[in-house]
Amino acid sequence: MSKPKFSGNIWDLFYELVRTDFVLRYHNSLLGFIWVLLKPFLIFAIMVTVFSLAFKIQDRLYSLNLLLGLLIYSYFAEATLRGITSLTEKSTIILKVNFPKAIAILTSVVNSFISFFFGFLAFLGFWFWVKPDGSLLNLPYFFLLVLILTILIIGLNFFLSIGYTKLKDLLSIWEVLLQLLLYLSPIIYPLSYVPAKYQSLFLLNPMAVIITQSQAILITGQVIDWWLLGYTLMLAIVVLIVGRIFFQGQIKRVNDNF
Amino acid sequence: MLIAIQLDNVTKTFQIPTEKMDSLRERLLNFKLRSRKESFRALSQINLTVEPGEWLGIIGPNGSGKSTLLKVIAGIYEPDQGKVEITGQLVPFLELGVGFNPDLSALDNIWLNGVILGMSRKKIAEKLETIIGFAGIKPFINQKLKNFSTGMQVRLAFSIAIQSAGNIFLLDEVLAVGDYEFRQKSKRVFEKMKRQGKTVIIVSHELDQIKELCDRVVWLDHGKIVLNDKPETVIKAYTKFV
Repeated sequence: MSKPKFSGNIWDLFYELVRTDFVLRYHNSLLGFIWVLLKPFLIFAIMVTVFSLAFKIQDRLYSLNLLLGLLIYSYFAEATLRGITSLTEKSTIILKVNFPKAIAILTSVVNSFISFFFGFLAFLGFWFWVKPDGSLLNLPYFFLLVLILTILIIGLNFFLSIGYTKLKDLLSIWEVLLQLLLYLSPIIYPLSYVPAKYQSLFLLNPMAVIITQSQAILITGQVIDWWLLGYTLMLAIVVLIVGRIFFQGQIKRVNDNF
Repeated sequence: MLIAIQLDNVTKTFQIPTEKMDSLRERLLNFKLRSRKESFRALSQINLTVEPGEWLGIIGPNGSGKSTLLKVIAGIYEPDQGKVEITGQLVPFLELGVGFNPDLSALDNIWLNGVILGMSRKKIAEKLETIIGFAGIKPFINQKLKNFSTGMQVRLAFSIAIQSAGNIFLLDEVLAVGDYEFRQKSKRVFEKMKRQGKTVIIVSHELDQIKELCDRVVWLDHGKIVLNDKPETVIKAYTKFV
């Protein structure tokens, strides 16, 4: 005898949730999946125009740095915004089936990752056109940075999704915080614009680390800073573990919140 | 004696805020009143044992805790006290078409609903033809579900659900679905489930159906078991009481 639990195959469930999420996202849309690529590049085009023409930034690599920064930021923003509503969106299912709820959190990240991945392929096209000093031999390090970011996203989504079932304002608050993060990270301006004495403070922000390190290895051709990388990895793992524990503790009674 | 489902002294209480405060503004304005919650005891010290192959009916007025009881057995709600244990694979059948999405095609909905009910993708692939045939929707399989009539949606949902490979089924008011022909079909399905020795708990207001299908009936009122006996006895007492 055992406690009642989900009796099916969790990975099959995961696969179907991701697949139908994908289908739903692009149904009724004229360009469908092309939007995934088009949207970040249109935003990029606007920003490049504004910042390199209006503010006359003279840097051959500026646009490439901006594009990479925007891609990484958009992945984070999109994945957490989907994560925050992920449990509530599935509440009709959760209330009827003993559903492994952490799956809802993972599902919310996968489709954002797919968009990010195709955006990155387009970035590589630009990369070959601009021919920067960085080397593509550093791609494994870049994937490590993306992995750290993904761990951080999943950890945060454990908190955000539970929080949103209790307090619906969290979505608006998070949207504002994401805007703040956009300007607090070296995306539209390079890190060198930040006064030297504030730079180390600035790099406490994991988004700033991931963006500057990605730019360093892929674009400007500098070596990776292992101390910064280690700090961000530790931070991400702590967020993931504490998030998971928090989630396990709260999830038993989450149905009472709906 | 073998046991399929066992509930030991199960109690479930819901905390219901007197005013639902789920926005920050309300919380700030009502800061001092925050702790004002009412607790509602939906189930109170329920002891219940179901044997394998047994069909148990649950009856009682609205709000008596019938659906909460099924949800506690299904593991959707965690009881405050007591414990729930089951032997076997449980298929919760608390609503037809869980996870159905009107913007997905009927085919996509079969896959989605199937995995939610605990079927593997391999099993769904094997049963796909049967499901479509039983629901009688073959010509419309690639159409979006929102273009289906309510009756057709229910038929599809029922056809998927009966393919799920559990041996314990929890059915919440799902008997009275479809037109006459479909009802006859579902009746044959229930007879087959009975022959196969599945364990079933049915919540329903249709007393005739309960009497026909069940081996034993539980009458719930205000979260407590009033009577737990043979169908004739319980239904007779219940109808007299009402």
